[in-house]
Amino acid sequence: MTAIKQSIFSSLLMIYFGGCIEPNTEDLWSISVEGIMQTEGFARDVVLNDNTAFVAAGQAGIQVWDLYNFSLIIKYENHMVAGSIDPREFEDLSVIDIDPFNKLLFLNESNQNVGVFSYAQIEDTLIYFNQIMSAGTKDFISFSIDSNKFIMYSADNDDGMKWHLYAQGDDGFGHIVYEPFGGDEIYTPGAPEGIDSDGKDYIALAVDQLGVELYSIDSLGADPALVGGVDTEGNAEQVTLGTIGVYAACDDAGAYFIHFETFSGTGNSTRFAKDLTVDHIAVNGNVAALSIGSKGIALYDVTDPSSPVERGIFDIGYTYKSQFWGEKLVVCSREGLQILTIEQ
Amino acid sequence: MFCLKNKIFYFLILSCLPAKTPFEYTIGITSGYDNNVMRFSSEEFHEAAKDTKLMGGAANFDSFVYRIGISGKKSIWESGKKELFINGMVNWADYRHNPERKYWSGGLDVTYRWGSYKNIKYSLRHLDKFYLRHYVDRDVSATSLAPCAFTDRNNYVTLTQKFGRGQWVNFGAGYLQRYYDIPFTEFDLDIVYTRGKINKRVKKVGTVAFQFERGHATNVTFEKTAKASGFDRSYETMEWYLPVRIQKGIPFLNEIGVSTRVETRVYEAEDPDDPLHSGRNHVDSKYDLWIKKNLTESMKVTLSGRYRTRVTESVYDWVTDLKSFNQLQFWCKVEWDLVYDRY
Repeated sequence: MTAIKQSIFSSLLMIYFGGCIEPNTEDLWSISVEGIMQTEGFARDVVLNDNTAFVAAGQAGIQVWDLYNFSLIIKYENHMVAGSIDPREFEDLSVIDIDPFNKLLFLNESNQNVGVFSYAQIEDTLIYFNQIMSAGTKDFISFSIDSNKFIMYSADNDDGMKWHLYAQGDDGFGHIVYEPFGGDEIYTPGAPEGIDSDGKDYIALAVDQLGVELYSIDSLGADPALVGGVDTEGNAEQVTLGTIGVYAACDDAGAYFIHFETFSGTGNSTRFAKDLTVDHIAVNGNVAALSIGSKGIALYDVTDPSSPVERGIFDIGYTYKSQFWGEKLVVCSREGLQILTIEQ
Repeated sequence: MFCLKNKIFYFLILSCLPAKTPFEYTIGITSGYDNNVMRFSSEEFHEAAKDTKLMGGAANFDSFVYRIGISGKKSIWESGKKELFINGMVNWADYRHNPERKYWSGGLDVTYRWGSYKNIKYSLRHLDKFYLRHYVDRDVSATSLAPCAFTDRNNYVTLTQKFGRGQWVNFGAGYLQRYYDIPFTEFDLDIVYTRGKINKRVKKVGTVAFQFERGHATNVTFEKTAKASGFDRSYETMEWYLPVRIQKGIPFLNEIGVSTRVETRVYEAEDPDDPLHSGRNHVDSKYDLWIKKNLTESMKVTLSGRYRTRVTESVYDWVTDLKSFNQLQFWCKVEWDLVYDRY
């Protein structure tokens, strides 16, 4: 009887220890879609101010959304031009920025000038001031410097990198306009596509086939000085400044992280997401979110930006850009503005 | 931790075995040939000829194979017609012309028998890191290929009962875990199945049997990883198996056998965004032929061949072309039966 007890005991042990296996767990992150704000037109660009999102919604114009409640605060499908009776409709807005201090909205329809608007009065129609910069503007970034004054850096596809200080003035007919009172442009042999700046030390410029250029500034308004350029595979289209370097979205050639030192010839650069079509990169802490067009977004762990680690591609529709809103990711997509939570 | 658990498990099992009965064991050496190791469809043969990356480092579509194995039986308790015994087996296989296809498999059976063709058996089978082929890891990339391999752990219980003269039936149920190695965990399946088999001994001829199996596979990682897990790979499966063994009245040989095994698999996916699985089904047929000859009392040789064909149906022609394939295998196995009996 002892033998049968031993055998039963052995069998039970065998089943317990050997019966089942645990699945392997991949070191991927996951996302959950908190909500999708239907923007009617494609959500092409977004700028965040606290819990409010200003969206360039393509042919649907500008939309302002409350991110907490997923509710539309207001939308502007047209704007009043000084001297005109009828409002003018937006054709296809693609870039948006704001000056929250002066309640200014900057808008760009693809390859056009930058329009300056006021959103101080929330009404159905924006108050239009005037056009600044020049035709061929692909991207821009602005910083308020004082009451009714701001500075703007732009990637001008024809002329290079432009920057101007603007102050509120009068056009002589009683209409408010913003007029340049300083600045210049720096010619680059490349065709600028994207620009980013931290507003205190650096300006990074994506110059298409010629890669990425980095400029240093002593302060806002000071003349930028070229640090250097780094050639990349493919076409550099968008740049994002990080704490120790620049992330570049290079379309079909994937993405790069380029250390600041590399622009002066001493550092190195890392290419990643080589087989993805990367249109934009947003970075927050150790998370890099790559907008990869029809494939959605790709997440990378950039704890060490020199060796980004892939954490998953997530098919959330056609994406253009993204911005971090705290720890959440606000994604511009053809489906609208999506808010994602990333679980690491 | 997994290795530690295994070591504890084997140590405890072995330490509990009584040493009063002989240990019967068999050493087997098999060599063979597989003409389509990675189960390429005709389309994929053409693609791989142009882009050898699809072959994951292999230079050939086909491969010679060798396999060595040992199996054993130990009776651990006997009382009259009643007996409790353990069978175990371990095999190692190496596809010589495919650098990724090397794996071990093994298993244990615990059988309680209370008469002729009357027993209940618990079986445990393990297949370790069985390489299929290279696939694109779509969770992180659009083009980069990675080796795709899975591990099976199969638990099943079979009840055998004699009925009538020279007839017996097997009923069983099983739980198969098919878990893939990283980075293809999105394919992970839990498969539950039931199986019934009728066996008949035909006087002066041999045996004939018919088996029917029904199962359901749940894609346990559906929507659990990234992009690649967006497809539901769950399916329903049905299989029938008809083996015929002729063991009497044949000159020179000791056994001639033929069998047919046909599996019909229907995928559950209905998502129109998933053309690869949506509305897809396939019929996977395996036709086997073997001959066996006892060279001596303790040594036998088996020659076998298998033709396998999978025909996939889908509303999309490209899916049909991609997932249908043919395969031909030949094996020569030499087995040597031994007994350890120094008690």
